[in-house]
Amino acid sequence: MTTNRRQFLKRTGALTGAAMAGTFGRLGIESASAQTVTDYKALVCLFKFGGADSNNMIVPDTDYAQYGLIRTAASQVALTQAEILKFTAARQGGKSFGFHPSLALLKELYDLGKLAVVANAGTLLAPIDMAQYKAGTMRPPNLFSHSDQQMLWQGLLPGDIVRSGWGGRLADKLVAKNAGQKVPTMVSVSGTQIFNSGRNTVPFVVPTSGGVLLSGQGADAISTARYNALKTLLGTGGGNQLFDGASEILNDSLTSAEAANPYLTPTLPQIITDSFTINGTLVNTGLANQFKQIARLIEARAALGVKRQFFMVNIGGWDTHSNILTNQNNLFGQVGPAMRAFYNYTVNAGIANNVTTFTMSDFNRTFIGNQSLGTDHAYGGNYMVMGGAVKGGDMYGTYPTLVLKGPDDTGSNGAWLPTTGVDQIGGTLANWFGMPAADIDYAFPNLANWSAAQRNIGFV
Amino acid sequence: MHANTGPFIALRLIQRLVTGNPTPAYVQRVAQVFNNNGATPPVRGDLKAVVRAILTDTEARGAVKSDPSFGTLREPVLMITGLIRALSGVTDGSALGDRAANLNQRPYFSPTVFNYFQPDFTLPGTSVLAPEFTIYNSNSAVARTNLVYNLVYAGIAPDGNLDRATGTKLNTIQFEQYAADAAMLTDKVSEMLIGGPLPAAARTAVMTAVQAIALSATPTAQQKTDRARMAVYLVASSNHFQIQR
Repeated sequence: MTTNRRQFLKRTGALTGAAMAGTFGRLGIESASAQTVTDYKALVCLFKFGGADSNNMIVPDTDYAQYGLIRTAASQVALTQAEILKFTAARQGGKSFGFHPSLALLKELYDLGKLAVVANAGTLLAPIDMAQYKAGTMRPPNLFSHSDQQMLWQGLLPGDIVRSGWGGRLADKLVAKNAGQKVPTMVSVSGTQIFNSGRNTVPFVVPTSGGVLLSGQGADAISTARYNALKTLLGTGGGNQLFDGASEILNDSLTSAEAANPYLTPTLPQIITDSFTINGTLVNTGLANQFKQIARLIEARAALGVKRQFFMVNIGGWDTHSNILTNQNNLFGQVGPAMRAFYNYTVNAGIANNVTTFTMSDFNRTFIGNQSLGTDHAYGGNYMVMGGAVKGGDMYGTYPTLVLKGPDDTGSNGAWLPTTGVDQIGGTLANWFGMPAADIDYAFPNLANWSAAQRNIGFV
Repeated sequence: MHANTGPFIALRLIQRLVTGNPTPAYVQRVAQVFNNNGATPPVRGDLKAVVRAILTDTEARGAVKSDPSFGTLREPVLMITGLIRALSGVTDGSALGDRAANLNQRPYFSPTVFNYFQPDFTLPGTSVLAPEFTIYNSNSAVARTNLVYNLVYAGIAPDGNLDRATGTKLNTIQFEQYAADAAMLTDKVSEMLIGGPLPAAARTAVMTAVQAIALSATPTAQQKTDRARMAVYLVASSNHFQIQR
């Protein structure tokens, strides 16, 4: 049974400002059934906000003619066959494809078998065919809407009044494995997203650089009195849920901050500086800096008492209704080095096999370009999974037929009906994470709509 | 003319003005005023009448306010301006946009066309609607507390790059006359910030911290200032102020 908020806050109200390591209201409750794990594993979600056009992230090479028929040079949304970075995919019948030219650093990982592509994935409530889609059978609500699809990718529970994300729900179940942890299982450098929020757990949100610091803290009597009063006040809400909700977030934050801040100082550990130096330059983009925060916390995993962790980072700007080529050069130019530097860190830290990074986005974009040299909201797209444990060097799922009004087009502009669901991706990752079947069902209620064989698609 | 428009607007405006969790009946009463403002001839969409209906509804006043799900977290821009006003502050306005941005609400820069909040955002693990919590997380919660601290204890220095800048300064001097009486000081501060006394345990907590600041036989100016600031900081940063009920 979880401790309810009131009991928790009464406890915290009675304590002074002394460190309260590990005594969260939402943690450490299921010790009776705690399963011990000896190894460390982390999942890192990179969300590309805006709906990333992944028709230009993974371009057909063998079937380039199909691509080039619509994405012509004149359209100014097309990549040339010469510039894509080519690879073959055994699971796609040995056909060859190419990465966006700015993803050379990730293509290297594909060639090393440490990166996999998941083709034509998207939000589904169940596997459906085109006839069912057009009949509206089990069709996800509000497709093509940014806010709804971001929520669906992250939450996988459309219409649920209690908002939670599958990352958060997995974190709900990981409490036992992280007995004695000093920071929450879920850490976000992305603010509070649905993905991070569980039914019983909230994320620890850290800024892009530095730690979570409270002004006016000090060792002198008056500062101590002030801090103690602040904490006591958090428990005086008289049962108002808004009050208690806010108090819990702040109190959890202060407690986590006490533990994590020593590891979040602006000074970079040498191993992270080395890993994030590519071709002699320290990678310093916003996204790279988010990954550095994660690296800092992973470095401190023993001290922070975590064995299973979730992280979330994000990069926005993908809603390329115009000037897609220029915009994507910039965006992929950030994603490639940042993801690669982070992978390099896991190698240098000896935990490449213990950390898996995966990408998500609201949706793919229309195959045909628009008048503004961009593309518009669409549906199924291609995503990446990266890590030492990934069975990489291949493309999972089924690459769509790039034909307008063709067998995979839900409309007439090239919005592909996904053949792989987000639940399947999440289920596969949760399996690798060692979650038992009951916990996977809890996190992914819709996964039951797929056959047993389809619930783990095997890329990791 | 869609039947949904009245309830849609009513809910959103109630959430902004009164509480995130109106009862369906409250929403309906307001929606009816939207549909027909009761004038002769009747007007649909009279927002002045709608706002009046929202603020004068029984659910915005009186006993229902003790419902556990009643209330709304002050959004950063309104929290900052409200605090400055309540404390007779003066500001040239510069830098406040940056301060609000730290709390995830840079004015005029909502991250998407969907504005800053999700109207159906709920408190984690509950079905209690709390749109303002969309941008309230473990990082911004601390940032909010720190902003109150900095405004109360330091203010914002004038920007040297701005002509005739004066910065931002809150006033606590109006409470210094009560510094020797921790109870009176606490009550005067809470009266100004939340319109009445704090609940007993909260009141005691503030008084205890105030009393940690010793007073000489004749209290010095600094001691009085420190006590006034302590009370103001604690009340203003507490959820008694931050959650508007």
